[in-house]
Amino acid sequence: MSQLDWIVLLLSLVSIAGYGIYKSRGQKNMETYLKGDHSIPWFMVGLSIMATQASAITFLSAPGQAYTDGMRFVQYYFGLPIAMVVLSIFFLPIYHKLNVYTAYEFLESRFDQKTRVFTSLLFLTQRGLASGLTLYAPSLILSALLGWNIYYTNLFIGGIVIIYTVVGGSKAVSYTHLQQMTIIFIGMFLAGFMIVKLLPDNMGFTDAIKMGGKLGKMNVIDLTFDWNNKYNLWSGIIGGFFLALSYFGTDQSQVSRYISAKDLRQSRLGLIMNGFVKVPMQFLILLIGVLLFVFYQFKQAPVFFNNNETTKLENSIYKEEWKQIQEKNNTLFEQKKQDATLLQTSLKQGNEDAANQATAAINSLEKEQQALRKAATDLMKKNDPKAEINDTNYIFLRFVIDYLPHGLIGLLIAVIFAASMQSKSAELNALASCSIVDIYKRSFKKDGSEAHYLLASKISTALWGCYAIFVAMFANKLGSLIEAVNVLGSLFYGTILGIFLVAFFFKKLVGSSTFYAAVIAEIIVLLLYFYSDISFLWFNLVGSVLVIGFSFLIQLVLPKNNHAN
Amino acid sequence: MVQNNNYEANKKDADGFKNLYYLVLAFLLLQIIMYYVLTQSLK
Repeated sequence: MSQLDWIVLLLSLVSIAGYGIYKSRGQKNMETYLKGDHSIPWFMVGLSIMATQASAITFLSAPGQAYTDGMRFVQYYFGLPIAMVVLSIFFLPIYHKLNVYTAYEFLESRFDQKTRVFTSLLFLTQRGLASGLTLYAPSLILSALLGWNIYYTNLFIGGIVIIYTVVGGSKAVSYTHLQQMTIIFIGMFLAGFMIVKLLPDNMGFTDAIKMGGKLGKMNVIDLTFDWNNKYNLWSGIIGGFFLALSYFGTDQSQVSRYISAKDLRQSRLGLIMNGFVKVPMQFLILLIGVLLFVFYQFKQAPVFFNNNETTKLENSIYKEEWKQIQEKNNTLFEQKKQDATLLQTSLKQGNEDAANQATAAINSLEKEQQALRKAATDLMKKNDPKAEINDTNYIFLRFVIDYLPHGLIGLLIAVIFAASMQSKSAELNALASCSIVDIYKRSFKKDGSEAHYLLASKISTALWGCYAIFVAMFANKLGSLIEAVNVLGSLFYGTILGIFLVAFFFKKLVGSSTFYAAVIAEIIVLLLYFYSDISFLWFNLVGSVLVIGFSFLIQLVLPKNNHAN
Repeated sequence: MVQNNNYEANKKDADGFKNLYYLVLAFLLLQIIMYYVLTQSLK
């Protein structure tokens, strides 16, 4: 990183934090601190919802995903607009009518205190751990590619977020989201623009997309139905719908974003805005990955994008084998480049036969390169059994560092920081809300003053921030647990959504039957996870349906005196 | 009279949102069709 990059990066970060603190100064009570002063307009609610969902990994991993697997990942978002409509019609009016701080507060008014506290604790455990990992993941990538100290990076990002979230609360989160998303949009647009600019002279955007299509990367829609296939139209619409419904409807980090709006109307407009913008936005981010793939047909791509791992090989007893792999890769690239040029010319001339021949040649060379990559990752594992052999998240940032001009590198690093900070700040605000409103105020101190609860909320935000940094510091010691935590989220979302669906739509079902149904549903989902190959996206649907079904069955056998809420 | 006005305003608002919901879903359908055509034509 040059001096210019550092200036751009630091200016971006200081302006985000400064603006957030300035716009949210003078918080006087817990309500305005945790929910804002109901002054947030709909477009900021919409941006804030998108910002909370989009962490640093979204922007690092999506282009890498399209680079390796094509555009089909976008189908994962097809259920989201439908979920936004359902939330606007059914969930939002109730949250606004009850004027809740947290989504779980509603569960007490519908069922009982134990259900509220239990669900809230589930959220705190899961989100608390996840918030550490959203901090750790970008730090790990930045440390690998730029050689930064991972602990200082964690402290730096976490420290800034703690400062402005503790000082400004919910309002600071919303205002900083506006700035963070602006930086992200500008940065990602410029990155896409630069890739097209760096393509061979006679190649434009449309040519690159055509070439990406020929090489199988424009596989946006997959109509085949397969329970085990994560990304097809059906799992995207149905599974994605239930995932989005549970995440946006029952996860406090999202609920706190839209209940901070001026009124019900503004909340609805914010959600609908998300429904309009999310799919095209993800499409464009993924498209950067396809452009990157085409770019690397003409420029030598590294065998492996994470230099941390390749440097380890260079200094190991396997350095000769590694050198041979690289040399073979160079030869394959030179051949592939010729075929890619041929494909480009054939596509321009409309010569279908020649284009098909060139495509077949490129695909066959690509297979050989994949075999070389496999050999390289096997070597990495042999050298260090703990080596990280998935480099999808490193592809985009490696390109940024290797090919983009100074200044823009700083801006793209700022994009990663901004994305990490935006999801983290919303999480901290939500964790503090649940801790204070659902647990502390409900069960420990019911008669405190406004000043007391405001101070408690600030302390809680700071403590959750420190906890996240603490988890991030020890995340590398958790090893495969990181993956387990991510899976845990998807395993519980379905059941939580089921409880909320019963609460909203089945008025005759009572707390006890729903509670036992949720326990049984959760056990079945866990059994399915361990003993079947069903993709995790379906667990949201399965969990919800099971909770509803079992609630009815249990209510039938439950003694009559348990039927009153 | 005031109640009547509120009722009219709420109804107008609800109708406006109903149209927005249809619009979101229609936009999603349009995108899926467009992406499908794109997938087939760029194969």
